[in-house]
Amino acid sequence: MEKVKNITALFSKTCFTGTAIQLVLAALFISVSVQWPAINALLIDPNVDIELRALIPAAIHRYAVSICLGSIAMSLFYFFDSKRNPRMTLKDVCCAIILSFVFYVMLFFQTLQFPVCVDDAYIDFRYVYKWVNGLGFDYNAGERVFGFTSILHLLLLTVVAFVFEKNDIAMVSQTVNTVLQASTYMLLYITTRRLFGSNLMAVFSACIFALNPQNLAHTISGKEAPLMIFLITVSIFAASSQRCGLFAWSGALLALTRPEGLIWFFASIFQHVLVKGKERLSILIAPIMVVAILYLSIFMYFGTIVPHGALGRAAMFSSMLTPYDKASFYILKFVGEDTFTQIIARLLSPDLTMQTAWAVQGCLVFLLLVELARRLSWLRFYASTVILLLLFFSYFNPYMFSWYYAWFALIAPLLVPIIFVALIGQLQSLKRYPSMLIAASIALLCAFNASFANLPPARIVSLNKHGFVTTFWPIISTLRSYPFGWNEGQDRLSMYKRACEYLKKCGTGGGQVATWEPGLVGFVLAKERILDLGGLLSDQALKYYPVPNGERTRLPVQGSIPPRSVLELKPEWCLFFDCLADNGLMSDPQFLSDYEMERFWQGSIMGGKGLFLFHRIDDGGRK
Amino acid sequence: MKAIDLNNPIVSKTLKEIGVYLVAVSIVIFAFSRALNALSDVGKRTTDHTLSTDAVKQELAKLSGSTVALGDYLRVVDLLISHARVSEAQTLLVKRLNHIRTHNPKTAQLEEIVLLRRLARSHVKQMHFEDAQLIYQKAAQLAKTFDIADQQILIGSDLIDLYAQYTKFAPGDLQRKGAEKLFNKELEQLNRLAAAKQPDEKTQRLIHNRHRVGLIEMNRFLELDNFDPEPGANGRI
Repeated sequence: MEKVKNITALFSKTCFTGTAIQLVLAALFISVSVQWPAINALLIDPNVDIELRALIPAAIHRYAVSICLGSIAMSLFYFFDSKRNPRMTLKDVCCAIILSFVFYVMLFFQTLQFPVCVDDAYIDFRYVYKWVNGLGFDYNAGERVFGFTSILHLLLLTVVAFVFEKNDIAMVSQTVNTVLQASTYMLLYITTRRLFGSNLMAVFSACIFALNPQNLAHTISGKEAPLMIFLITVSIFAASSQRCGLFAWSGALLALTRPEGLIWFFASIFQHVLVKGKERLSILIAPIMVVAILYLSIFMYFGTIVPHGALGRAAMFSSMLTPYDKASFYILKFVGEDTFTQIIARLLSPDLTMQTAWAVQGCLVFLLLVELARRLSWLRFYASTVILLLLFFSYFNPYMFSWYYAWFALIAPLLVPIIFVALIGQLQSLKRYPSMLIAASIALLCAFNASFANLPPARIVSLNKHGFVTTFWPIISTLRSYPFGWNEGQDRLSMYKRACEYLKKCGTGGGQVATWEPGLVGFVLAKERILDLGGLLSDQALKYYPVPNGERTRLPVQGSIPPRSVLELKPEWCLFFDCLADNGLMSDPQFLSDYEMERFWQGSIMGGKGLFLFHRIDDGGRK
Repeated sequence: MKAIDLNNPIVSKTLKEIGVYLVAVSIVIFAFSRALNALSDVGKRTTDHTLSTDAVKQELAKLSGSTVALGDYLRVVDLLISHARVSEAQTLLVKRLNHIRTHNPKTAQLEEIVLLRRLARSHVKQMHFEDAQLIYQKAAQLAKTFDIADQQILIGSDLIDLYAQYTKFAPGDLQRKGAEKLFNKELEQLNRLAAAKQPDEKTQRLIHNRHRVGLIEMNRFLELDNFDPEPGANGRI
């Protein structure tokens, strides 16, 4: 009896139980890497190429290391948390198990991926590679174009790549993103635990964040979104815990992470002045100075503070394929879906064919956010800033890129637990009507089930093609698993890589390589001059947009290469998919007379036949 | 009726809150309207701003009279075709064709062939392949009659490009099958002609590129001399 008492007393200690949970779960998750040969057939897309499969052992090694480091971090968390709460109740233990389990699940999905990012991320990686290796500051030597958008993300990657002497910037970026996502997860838990006053609701909030497929996509993309979400969480944490300095600095860092982060920064200054008045204004001086100096430096060097990518993206696209292509619809759709899954949209359109239903659902989430912010002072700052950002994105309504959504990524984790508590309260009022209580409970369970059906990363738009249905949770619903996700977008990148390796092998002769997608091409050919025909990095190409109607592609692609850009700028090499040129360059007699097709790589990308490499022939021979 | 006391802190706070709420609601409604715009824009192409009606009128004004050089005339025609104003371009081409046929029938064979080629190309842009084929054949006949070798070769290369375009039809389509045979036949003829007449480098390159692009259009990758046949080449690293 004494022994049982001792054991119970031991397990009620936060530090001991927390560490014990980590040891058990970490062992369980590491066993996945040991058992990998047996389960990889189930989890990996069968279409993945042999050369890509060769990258899997390294990824599994990284996964095992991340689980070990994660378990140490979680143990440390419980060690420090034991000072706040030395003893755990059974409910606390359950919460700790769920929190830790989902943490490892998140690491599982985020680290078991190919180190291949989205094409845009490689534009940043070229800068980082050049800075780390001392190859110059600009994208192309001598061309002062403000070609990156996230100053802070680039600096962070540069420091990490420099310290660890890594040139595989894509892997560095995915690793940094995983660390940031894991940090956000824990910080969100700590913040919401205090705000909600409930351990269970805080775990619920953190789980909603961790299991959101968009967040996994952010990590794989290699872009700055995880950094943004981390800083937003820091900002909410600082605002709710009255840490004025941290609040001001997180706002400043957000301004350095994205240009529209300036909205957040100004809002945080306004909030500080509103709450504190003239008191402690000195706290703002250093962050304001840092932001001002960095933006002033950018202005002095590039002559603008508007990233060139914004100009390029405003010009290069000519047709919309889905409503999600535009920021306004995308934001409303996914904010709605993250919060209410499909519940309200289905009420309006049972078969979900009416797209307006998604927009209505999103609007209701924003209205609910505003209404809750009136009651909950800690939510006020985040609510008002995201409303301002919604105005910004709706007004400019740019073609959507998933990292813009990072500003709205915390709406669901903050709102859903509040909605859930409110619904439970309503259910309690139905006690006198048992049948109604049963019906309402079933409805709530169905909603819960619907949200689980969407667990990671089933709803990643870009990965859905090769999604694999696993059956380890068949009772609730089919749960899709996407380790080593692979899609057409990444197929496209591997073709570019093959072409660049060919060009490296045969040599460009110092000639300019023109392409519409300068990301991976620019990164692999880091020492070559790149002509970006899309205009993200080149002023020269912008003047050829919009592409005349009669020269735009007939295939389902958002943009086309303007034929005149190649004919007049005369790059020595031209690398493009025919889907971008089928009704322009590919049928232009002058182009076909001035250039010679050097090589072709087959691949049905966006309805086309493959990737073409042309080189210019000057009178008297090859240039 | 009692006036509302705006100095009352409760009243002013409530009004402030209502004001903020209304602003937020307006922004959400604005976002919704933009999302509806996005919905209605799906499938549409953005308006082509590069060629205004006034610009077209200005260009057309330059073409009045019979003294306009062929080069200037074709520049306007090409401009219209590239901006998908194909029917206007065709009207211009037919007008010029009629003019030269009426006024200088013997000296303008070359010009007529060039105009016919442009007319055929405009039909290709509209994916009216049969019309284009008929016009090209007419132009080829003229070039052969007057023994204009360069044009014969160029029309040949235009035709192999045209036959390759038939791949835009469904795989089982009869026209598509026929076009593949015609592609081979025309290519053979073209190669013979090119060997005999030795066109300039640019024309040779045009033929060469169109041949290879044509093979790709028809999925005949293995016939390409620069096709990467390594395993895993098909879209993979």
